[in-house]
Amino acid sequence: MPPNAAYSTTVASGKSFYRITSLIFSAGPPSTYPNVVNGKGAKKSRFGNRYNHPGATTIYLTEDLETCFAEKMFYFQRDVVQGIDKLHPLSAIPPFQQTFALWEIELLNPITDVADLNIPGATAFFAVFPSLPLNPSRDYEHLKDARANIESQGHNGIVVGSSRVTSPGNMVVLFDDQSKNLASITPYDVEFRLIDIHGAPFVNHVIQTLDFTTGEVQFAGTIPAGGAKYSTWQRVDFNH
Amino acid sequence: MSTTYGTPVQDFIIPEDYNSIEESPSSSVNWFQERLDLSDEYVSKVINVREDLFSNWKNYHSGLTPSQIEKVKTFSITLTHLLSYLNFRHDLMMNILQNSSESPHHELTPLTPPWIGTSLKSYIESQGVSGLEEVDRWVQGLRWSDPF
Repeated sequence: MPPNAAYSTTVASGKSFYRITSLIFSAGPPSTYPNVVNGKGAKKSRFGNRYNHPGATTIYLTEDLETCFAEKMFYFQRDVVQGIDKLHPLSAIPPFQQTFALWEIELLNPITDVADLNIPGATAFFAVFPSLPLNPSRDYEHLKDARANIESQGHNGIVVGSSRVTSPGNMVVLFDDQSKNLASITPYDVEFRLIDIHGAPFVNHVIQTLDFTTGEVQFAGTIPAGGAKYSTWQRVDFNH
Repeated sequence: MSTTYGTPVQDFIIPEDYNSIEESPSSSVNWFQERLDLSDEYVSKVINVREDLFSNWKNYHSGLTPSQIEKVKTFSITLTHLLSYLNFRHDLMMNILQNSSESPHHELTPLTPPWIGTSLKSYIESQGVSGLEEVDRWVQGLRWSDPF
């Protein structure tokens, strides 16, 4: 089946997209940076991710910094809370403040035939239950199946609203290795920290109550274009 | 580079990254052994290979079969996933390796650490590669599966 042009968009070249990874990916030589968008992490995952079953090459990007921060803050906080629950007896809870690599990515060539679930009628056409992409708290098998269905129709990716960002913002989910389709890829150190319900840094899980809908972010060194606001700690609200 | 929580970046550069770890795990294994105080005797027992063969492989890159090298990869990948979860904090990684977890007082769940009742280091030593796979399944489940 050919891709449906009415519900498709093109992911542009020469435009900045964003992704956050562990610092391990930026610690090596620049020749290794393209690994960040080769999609192998999703392919090798045991459980899959929001829009992929295990075994499916997938690259998750965002169109703006705010969406990227909100998505990462959700998982960062979940990692810490899981650690509080499971690893407190071992004194091995993940740190409440961590540094990650934010990647600013520009594609060399545009990617056509990307299903755009924001276009009115698209969710119905692709048989995506419209409530499920909006739920931030968990992933669904339905969305992984929907991606497989969309890919089988010849599409090269999905543009879909992020469920975690509180203002409108899109995720760009690409189905193919982009490591050889890069105009540029640049890492920036970015710090995340959790805060408590009074807005203070969350440093003691025994006595403080975590704010489950807000964290804070700042760049630790060089700042990407459009990121000046984050030269100091800034609140990042997210849906939980 | 900022290191707010005190782990200099050069201390957690694992020689192969997540992807090239497929090609040769020898540098990664050396890295983990040096920093986590894991002897050749320990690792060879985990992967069920004679210690002299394992040591020779590390030095001369020969002497292990492809299936044995796969076990070494499982060792490296599992520890990399754990270290990443702990934001590359060496002290936390040592705690998780050495501290014994309490015996269960309740029914186990899929997210209960599989080494409950002992230390991670002892668990991996006793269970071998199947234990590594259980630990990897656990840490990936903790991070990426739906817990509810």
